[in-house]
Amino acid sequence: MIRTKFMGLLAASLLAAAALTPALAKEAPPPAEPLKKMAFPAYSEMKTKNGLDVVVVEHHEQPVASIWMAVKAGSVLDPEGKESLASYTGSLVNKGTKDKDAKKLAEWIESVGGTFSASTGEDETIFTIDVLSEYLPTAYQYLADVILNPTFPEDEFKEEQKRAKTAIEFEKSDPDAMANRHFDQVVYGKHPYATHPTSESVEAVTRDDVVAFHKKNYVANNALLFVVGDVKKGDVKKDAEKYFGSWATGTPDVASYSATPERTAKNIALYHRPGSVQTELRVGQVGLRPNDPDWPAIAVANRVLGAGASGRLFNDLREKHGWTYGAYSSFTKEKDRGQFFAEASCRTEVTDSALVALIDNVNKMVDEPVTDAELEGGKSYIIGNFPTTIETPSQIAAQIGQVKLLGLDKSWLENYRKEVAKVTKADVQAAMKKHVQPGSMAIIAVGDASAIEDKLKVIAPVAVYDIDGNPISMDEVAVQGTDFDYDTASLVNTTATYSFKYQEMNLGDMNVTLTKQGKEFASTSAITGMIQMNEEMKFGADFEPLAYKFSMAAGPQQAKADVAFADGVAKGHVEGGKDGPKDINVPLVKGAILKSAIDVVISTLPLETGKTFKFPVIDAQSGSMENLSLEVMGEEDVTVAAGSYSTYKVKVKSGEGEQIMYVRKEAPHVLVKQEVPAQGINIELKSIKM
Amino acid sequence: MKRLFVASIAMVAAGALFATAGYGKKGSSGSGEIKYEEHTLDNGLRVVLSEDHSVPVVAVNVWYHVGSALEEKGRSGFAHLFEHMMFEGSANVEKGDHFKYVSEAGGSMNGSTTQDRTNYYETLPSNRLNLGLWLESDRMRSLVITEEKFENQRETVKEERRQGIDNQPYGEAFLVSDTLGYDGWPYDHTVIGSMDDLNAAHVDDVQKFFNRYYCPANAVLVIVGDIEPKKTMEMVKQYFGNIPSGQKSTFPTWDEKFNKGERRKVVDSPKANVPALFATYQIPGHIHADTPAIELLNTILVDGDASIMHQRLVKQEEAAFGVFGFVDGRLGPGEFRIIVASNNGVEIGTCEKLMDEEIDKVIANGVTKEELDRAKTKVRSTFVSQRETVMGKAEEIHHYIRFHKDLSEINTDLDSFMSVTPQDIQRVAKTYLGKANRTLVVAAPPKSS
Repeated sequence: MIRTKFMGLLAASLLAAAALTPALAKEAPPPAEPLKKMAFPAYSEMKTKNGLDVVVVEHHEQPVASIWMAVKAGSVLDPEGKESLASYTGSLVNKGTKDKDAKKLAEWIESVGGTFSASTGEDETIFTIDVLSEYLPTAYQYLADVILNPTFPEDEFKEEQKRAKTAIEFEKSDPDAMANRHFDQVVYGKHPYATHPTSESVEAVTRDDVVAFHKKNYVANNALLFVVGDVKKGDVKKDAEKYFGSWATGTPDVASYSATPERTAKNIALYHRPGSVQTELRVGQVGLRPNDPDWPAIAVANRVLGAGASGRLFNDLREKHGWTYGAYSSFTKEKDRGQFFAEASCRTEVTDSALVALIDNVNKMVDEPVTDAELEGGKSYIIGNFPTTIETPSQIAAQIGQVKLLGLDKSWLENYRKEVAKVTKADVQAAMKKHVQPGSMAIIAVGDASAIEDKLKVIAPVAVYDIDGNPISMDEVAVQGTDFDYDTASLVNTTATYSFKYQEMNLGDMNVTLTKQGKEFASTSAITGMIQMNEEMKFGADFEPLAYKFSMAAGPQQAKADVAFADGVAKGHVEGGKDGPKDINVPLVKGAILKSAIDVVISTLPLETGKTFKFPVIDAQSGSMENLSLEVMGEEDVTVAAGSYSTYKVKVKSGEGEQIMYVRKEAPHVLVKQEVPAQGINIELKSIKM
Repeated sequence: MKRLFVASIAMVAAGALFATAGYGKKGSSGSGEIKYEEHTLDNGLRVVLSEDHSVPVVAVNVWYHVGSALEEKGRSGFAHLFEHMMFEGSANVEKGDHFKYVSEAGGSMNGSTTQDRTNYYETLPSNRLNLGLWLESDRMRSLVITEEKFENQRETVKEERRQGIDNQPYGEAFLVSDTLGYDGWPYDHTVIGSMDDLNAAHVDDVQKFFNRYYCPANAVLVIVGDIEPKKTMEMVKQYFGNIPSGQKSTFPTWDEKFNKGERRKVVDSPKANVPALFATYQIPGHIHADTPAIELLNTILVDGDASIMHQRLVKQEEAAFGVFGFVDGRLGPGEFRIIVASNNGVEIGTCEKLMDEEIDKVIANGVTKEELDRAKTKVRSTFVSQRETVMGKAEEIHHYIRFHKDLSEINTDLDSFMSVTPQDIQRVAKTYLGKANRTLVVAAPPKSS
C-alpha cells in the first residue's frame, strides 16, 4: 500500500532549498545520453457517414480506454447577454435523457466503474469517459445517449442556474479570478475570448435557449470523437457508425473572432477591493496564434522568465525579496489568439515594488539575451518533460486533441522537440521582441485602491474601477467621515423574528433583539438551523460602535469576529473572512457606524422617496472601513408572514454589492423584508414586538 | 477513489493519506500484467527491471525497508526526519542540487515515509536514467550530515507537523485513531512523531540510522520504463556495485491481540466545526488470505454514492455530511477504517448508531451479489489505472516485494479478489467488524455557546 504521507510539504521545502546557490560538486552528474526518438503513438483519422470526425489511437499497454467527445460549442458562441449558455448545455446533458433521469444515468456509468466529465472552454465543450476497455459498449451507449438525447429537465436547469449564480458570487470574492476576468476583458475587448458570465447573464439564459443551442450546435459535423487506449481501429470505425450514425447533421453557429484592441500605451486598471491585504497583479497583452513558428522560442523564453519555480520571476519576487508566495508567466495557446501575462499576488504594502519587478523582468527578456545556462535549462526541461505527458491514454488523447482542435499540423507532435532543440539565445530574444511590447502592456491590479493608487500612478496612468468593472473616482474609494446628526431617541426595545432563505432554501429563523441599556444599545441576531449564526453588538447614543462579536458555522464554513472599540480605533481578531484569520487595528473616521447596525440606523432616518444618504461604516467581520450609500427608491406595499406593510424601498450599496431593504413607512422604519439578489438571500419579517 | 468529502471538509492532513488509499487493490490475471526481471548485486542490492517502451520515460524508485516501526523508543518521527536529510546533500550532490538536476532534466521526484518502508523516486526522460541512478547511488553511499542541516530539517519537520496535523481540523483525531488500537511500540506511535521526540533527536543519530538501514542489503531498486535491461544492469553495477553491503533489517514481531475490547476516545478538535467519528477495526497483516475480502468489504460499505453507508447515512437519513474509509494494509496488523462526519446539528451518536446498524446487517445477512460485483469492477478498474504509468508500475513492484509472499503475485492477485464470494464477505465482517475489535475516536468541535 502506498502511503504518501508528508510529501507535499517536503516538496515545498525542497523548492526553497533549491534556490540556494550551490557550490561546485566534486563529481558532476553523468551527461545526458542521446535523446531518444520519441515515437508518438500513431493515430488514424476517419469520418462516419454523417460527418463525425473520429481519431483512434491504439495503446494496448493496459486494458483501459479513454473516450473524448469534443463538440465545437464553447463560450465563444454565447450570445451577448447570455454568457454561460454553452456551459449550461454541457453541464446539463447528463441530467436527463429520453428514458433516464439524472440518478439512473449516474448509476449506469458507475456500474462499470466509469467516470464521466464535461467541461466548457472558449472554443469547445469536451466530454470524457475513462473506462476498462471491456466496458466500451456501455461507455459508447452512455455517451451517445447524453449527447444525442438530452431532455434538459426544468428542475435540473433551475438547479444548474443556482449553481452558476453561486459560482459567480464566489468568484467575486476571489481576487485571482477577478484579475483574470478583468485582464481578459482589457486585452481582448470585443473579441469573444473577453466574455465571462455575469449574474445577469446566467439569469437571462432560459431552458428554451439551452434546447435550441443543443439542437443547432450538437450535430455530427460539429464534433470530434477520440477513442484512445486498448481498442482496435476497425472496431472503433464500426462502433462510431453504430452509436453515432444516427446523429443529425446541421449548420452550427460559427464563432466570429473580431480583432483585439490596438494598445498604444502602458496603463493600469485598478479594481478596488476594500481592505484587501494583497494585490493581484497581471501584466501582459494578447499573444501568439497557435500555428506561429515562434512557439518553440517562446516556450523557452517563458521557461526562463517564469514558467515555474526556477524562473526569474519566482527567484526575484519570492526568493530574493519575499514579496509573494509565487510569481509566474504564461503564454496561452488558443484556437484564435492566446495571451501573454506575468502575474503575482503580493502584499499590499509592496504592490508598487512587485509591479516594477514584473515589468522589469519582462523588459529584460526583450532587451537582453538569456544566459547559456538558462537557455539550456529551459530547453532540456521542455524536451525532457514532453514524453512524461503522454504516458496514459487520456494524456495522449489530450495531446492529439490539442493538435486537432487548435488546427495545428499533424507533424507538430513529432517535430516540437526538434524545434525546441534548435532554439538559440538570439531566437529567444527575437521572439520576445516580436511578440511582447513592453511599452503598451495592459496592467491589472485588484487590491485596496485607497492604499495603492498613489504609488501605482507613479509607474503608469491609473484608472480606478469597482470590483465589477464600473469606473469610480478616488473620492468614492476614500472612506470619508461624516457630520451626520444621528438620532437614537426613537429607538425602543424590540424583539423580532425573520425567516432566512438562501437560494430558496429555508435556512431557519433569525431572531433579532434591540435593548436599551442606559445610554447604550445592545442588539443581537441569531440563526439556528442549517446554519448557525450569532451576532452581538453594542453602540452608543450616536450609533458610535462599542463592541462587536460574531460567529457563524455553515457546513464546513465558519467565521468569527471579536472586535472592541476604544478611542476611535477598532481592535480585535477576525477569522474566516475574505483574507483569512487576522488581527485588526483600524482607526475609525468621524461618524463611522457598524455595518451590521445599518437596519437600526435606517429605522431612525428621515426617509423620503428620492433621498440619499452616505455613511462611513466598519465591516467588523473583516475589519475594513468602507462607504455605504442608501437611496430611497420609492414606496411599495409588501406582505410578509407578520402582515401587510406600506414600505419604503431602500437600495443599500457597499463594497460587497447591492441589496434592497423594504422598511416600514411609519417611523421607526423597521425592516420588513430584505433581498440580496446576487447571493439569493431573502429575509422576511415573521413577527415583531416593540 | 475514496476521496469523497475530503476536500470539502478541509481534512487536509487526512487527505494526504486518503488520496492514495485506493492503492491497496492488487492483482491481475491476464489484464494489466507486469513483466519484470530480477537481479541481486554482490553487495545484496535487489534490483527489479521492467521494460515499457510506450514512451521514452523511466521511473527510478528505491525503497529502503525501514519505517517508523523500527524507530527506537523516545525517537518517534525519526525515520521521516531522516528522509528529509536524504535531500540535504551527499558526497557529490550539494544541498538543493538534487531538485535542480531532476528539474533541468524535465523530471519529477519525491520521497515518503510510512510505518513499514521509506521510498525515494524520480520520473525522468529515459536518456537521463543515468542521472537518476547516479543521484540515488550517491546518497545510498554517502550522506553529508551537518548540525546546521539537521537543525534546519528538524524545524522544517516541526513546521510540517504544525501545518499538516496541528492546524488541521481532524489532524489530531486522525493520528489518535491511527495508533489507539495498538499496544506494541512499532505501531503505537505516529510516523510524524511527537514534538518532544523530535526535539530530543540528535544529529549523531542520523549517521547511525544511515549506517544501519541505508545500505544495499536493506534496499530494493526498481527501474521501469524505456530501458535496455542489459545496459541498465551495467549502469546499475557501475553506480551501486561498490557500495558496502550493510545489513538487512528484520521487521519486529510482537503480540497484537484481536478483540481487545472497544477503546473509545474523544479528541478536542478546536479547528473543526462538524463532529466526526473514526472507527478503526484491527485486521491481520496484508499478507493474510483474508485481505481481498476485507478490501472488497470496505469498498461495499463506504466507496461511492451507491455504497451501503453512503445510501443510509448521507442520502436516506441525511445524518452524515460524508462517509468514507479505506483499508490500511501493513506488514504487521493493519486497519480497516470508516470515517463519518455528521451533518450540521446531528449528534455524532446518531451517526454511530446508524453505522453500527448497517455493519450488523452485513454481519447478519451478508451482501448481495450485485453489491459485490460492483465492488469487484471498481477494484479491477483501480488496479489497472494504477499500472498505467511507469511510476505506478514501479510502486506496484515494490508493494508486492514488501507486502506479499512473492513478487509473482503481482500478476495473480486479482484472481483472489475475483474469487471472493458473498459468503467470504459476511465471514470477514463477522470476524473483524465486532465492536470489541475496534477503536472509536470522536473529533469534538468546541461547544458553540
